[in-house]
Amino acid sequence: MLPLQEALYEDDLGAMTAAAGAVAQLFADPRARGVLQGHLPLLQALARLLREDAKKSTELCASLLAAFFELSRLPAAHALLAQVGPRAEGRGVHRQGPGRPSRAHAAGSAALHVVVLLRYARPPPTPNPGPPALFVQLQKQVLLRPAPPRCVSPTAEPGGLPHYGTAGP
Amino acid sequence: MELLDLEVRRAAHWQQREGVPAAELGAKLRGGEPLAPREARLAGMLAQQEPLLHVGLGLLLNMAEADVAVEARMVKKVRDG
Repeated sequence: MLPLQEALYEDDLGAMTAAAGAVAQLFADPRARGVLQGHLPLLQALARLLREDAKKSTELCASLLAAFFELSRLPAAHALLAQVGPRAEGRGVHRQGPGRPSRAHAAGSAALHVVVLLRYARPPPTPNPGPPALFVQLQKQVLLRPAPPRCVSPTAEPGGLPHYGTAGP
Repeated sequence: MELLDLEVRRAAHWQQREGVPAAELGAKLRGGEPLAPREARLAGMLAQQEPLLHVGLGLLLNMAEADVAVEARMVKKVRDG
């Protein structure tokens, strides 16, 4: 674990990406996940990388997010993620100044919008099927006649419907 | 969230630079039509973003799924802009 964590502090983006990918693979293993979630320095190192260097490389960002994604599958680790997350966001907000909304906040709202749309997406409204049949009939001034009673012939469907009208036993 | 939005803005910038809308590219890919070099380049760059968007949105969805308060905060942030 220690070499992996040390590799996260390298200057080379490739080494950092490889280390983050290895950590993500470790988090994907359910046996190692429980042990790793107690390793707070590793999580803090990942959060720092996500905060500072993730914008430099798409692969590094994907590896780091994959690690946190695997960790988020554990409900017990959500408190830990929430503990690491706001710390990472809070520094960015603080740099922008307290009175002004941060750029990170404005940018994050768009991504949140995508998530909320995914969660609350409703199916598109069905096209208007047109006026009901009764309205059309009334527009045409057609007299509505009740449908004739359905007559069931004794020989219509053998064994299907009861034979009304025939003398019972 | 900030990183996801950065990737979305990157994709929009690439589309603008290559002069190819992603919807048109998607229709061509679905139809199996041959791509121009610009379109192929854009498709490659968009394909690189796919894993990142997948895990990023999955992470946010997992967080929202487990705790209603987190989900409520997300909705509130979107509504407040």
